[in-house]
Amino acid sequence: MFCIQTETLKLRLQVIRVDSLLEHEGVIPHVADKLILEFKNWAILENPVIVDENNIVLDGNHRTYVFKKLRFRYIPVCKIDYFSKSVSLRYWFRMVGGIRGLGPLMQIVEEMGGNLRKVSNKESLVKRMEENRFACGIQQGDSYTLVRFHEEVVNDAVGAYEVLEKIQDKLIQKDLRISYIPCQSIHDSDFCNGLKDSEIVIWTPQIAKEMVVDAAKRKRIFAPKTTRHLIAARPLNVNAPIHWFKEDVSLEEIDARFSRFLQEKEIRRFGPGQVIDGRYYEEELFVFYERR
Amino acid sequence: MSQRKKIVSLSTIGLDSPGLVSKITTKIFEMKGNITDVEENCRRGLFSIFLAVDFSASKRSVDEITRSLKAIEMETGLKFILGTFDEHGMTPVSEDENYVVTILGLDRPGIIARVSTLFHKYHINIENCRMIARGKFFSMEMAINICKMMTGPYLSHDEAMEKMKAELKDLCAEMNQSVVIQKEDTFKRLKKIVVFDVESTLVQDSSLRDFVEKIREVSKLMDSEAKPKDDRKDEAQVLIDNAPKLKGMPIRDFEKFSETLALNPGALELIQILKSMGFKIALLSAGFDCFMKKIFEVSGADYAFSNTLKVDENGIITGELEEPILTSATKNEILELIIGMENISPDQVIAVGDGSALSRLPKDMGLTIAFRPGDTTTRADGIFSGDQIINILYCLGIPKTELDKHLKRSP
Repeated sequence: MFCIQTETLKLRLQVIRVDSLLEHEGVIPHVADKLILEFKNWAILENPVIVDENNIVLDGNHRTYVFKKLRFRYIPVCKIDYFSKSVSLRYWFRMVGGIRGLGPLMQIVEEMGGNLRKVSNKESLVKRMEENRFACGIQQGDSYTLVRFHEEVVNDAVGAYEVLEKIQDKLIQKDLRISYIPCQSIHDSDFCNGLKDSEIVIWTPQIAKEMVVDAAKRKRIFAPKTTRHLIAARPLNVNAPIHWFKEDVSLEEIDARFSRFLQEKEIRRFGPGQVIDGRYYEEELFVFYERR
Repeated sequence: MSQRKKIVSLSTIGLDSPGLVSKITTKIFEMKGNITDVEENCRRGLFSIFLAVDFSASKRSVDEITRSLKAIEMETGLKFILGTFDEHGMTPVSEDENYVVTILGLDRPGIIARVSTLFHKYHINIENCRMIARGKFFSMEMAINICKMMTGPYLSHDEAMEKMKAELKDLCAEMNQSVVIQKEDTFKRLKKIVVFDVESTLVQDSSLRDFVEKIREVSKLMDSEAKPKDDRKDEAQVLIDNAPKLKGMPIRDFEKFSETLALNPGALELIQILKSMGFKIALLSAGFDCFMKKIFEVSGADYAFSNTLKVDENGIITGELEEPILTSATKNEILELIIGMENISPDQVIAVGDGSALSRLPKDMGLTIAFRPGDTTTRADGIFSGDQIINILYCLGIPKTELDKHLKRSP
């Protein structure tokens, strides 16, 4: 095991068995397929999957799916304390684009047995959603609607997101565009002012870390693009040769090899706000690079 | 004793028609000639070709060969000029001694004459010359060979080259032209990354000054005892120095200030075109990440490093910067890291900055271009004096057809 102790979080880089990983979220098929092709040809795994103490995948669902699909024995991970304050759980709201009024969405919800109720303002929607943990919200401009489903349809957070996924599929069938936006965006005045008449935001149910752990342990999988984990620090550019993780060696041996491999590298720390390989990182970074 | 080679040079010009190259080269092949050098051009319906052919393997006499080649004149309507040489009279091919000089700026009479006179003074041979852009905007690329360069009594070959480069930079500055001088082998090396020093190349000077001024005003208000530095030469350093004085300010207010920062005209288009050509883009800034984030969001850069102000849980600036602090002096370390991450060599990097930013970068960069440097003595390969940063594209050795294609596509 190779450890990096940050101010608030301990990053434990180690190798574990692929079959010990617990996913909590589904994958987007075309993203997964592309990644399978890439991993078949790639020689290295750039970044380890981030997992909790129980090997629940917090970041890297697609990489996990690919490692399982391609029958790897082992996988390098970065293990963290999920319940640390430095790990926040956010979720993704859905933005429906190119829609004319609430009509099509309301019709779909009603057909699926959902109950729609107008609420007076944003604060009221927030309050109602706190009272009804598996309810959704619909926002169009300054108009807010609470959406609830009967307990027989939705009785946990995974079920709520499953229903949402079905609504989403029906909207896509109607040629409407779906995009994902961080849940905090709706508190940003610029975002709300910038909303077009043809855009509707679906507020997704709030999720807690306990729900993620519970779902993963019960092998209940959330719909793709449900959770968004903000982890205060992460390792980057580990670049481990992936063929190692197919070898018929013991876990101890491959883990020791991986540790030695990391020890031979240099690490540079960066504060939040850097862009690496086309991605903006809000977190502290520990970038591995070759010793010259 | 080895036999001297029979070298025949052939230059020809005339109206273009299909099959000209085939007719000439087939005849050469029939006479057992080996083409050792060739340059063919076709411009505005006119065809020209230069060939150096080794006829050592041919049993024919030089007179017979030239007569046979001349016969093609009748058949094609081309005008031929033929000459014979032996190999000792010719300059050996040595890429080590070849440089590519790119000159660009608004067109004016006398550019080629003055530059070629300077080369003549140093006994430098112009081996090739081509226009990349014509019209109001002028861009020309010259391949020069310095193997017979005059060094003078006290200078080494390298010192003489540096002296010539400095003179050429001064001459071009005098004519309001930008100039880039690169070794041909490095010029030909496939470049992978273009690195921009953000403050000195992409951000408008006036907007950066306004931004720094605002920060100064605010930091005075936040800390009445503070005496902000008055060094205008390195605005980014002023930002870093004043960070502690921003303590207590909401980060949102600070981010609003950064809205005054504006990009130089063409900067965004340049990045987009470079990306569409397959280059990776790295942005290095000793300023703050809020502005870098905006550039990143609109340009899609591959790497962007800058400084981040620490904020507390309420979004209030603590006055501290996240370590490590990126300064003009530490940008080279970040660049080395990027080179390592991309697994490329430094000569595959193009760096664009002002003179001082470039002077701190590793010495073996593929190409360094100083954008509007304070003085022309910078050790950069090129000095770009124009306002339109997008014209840097003309210095990268991209074929004109390729360049036109991307420029047409740009918004």
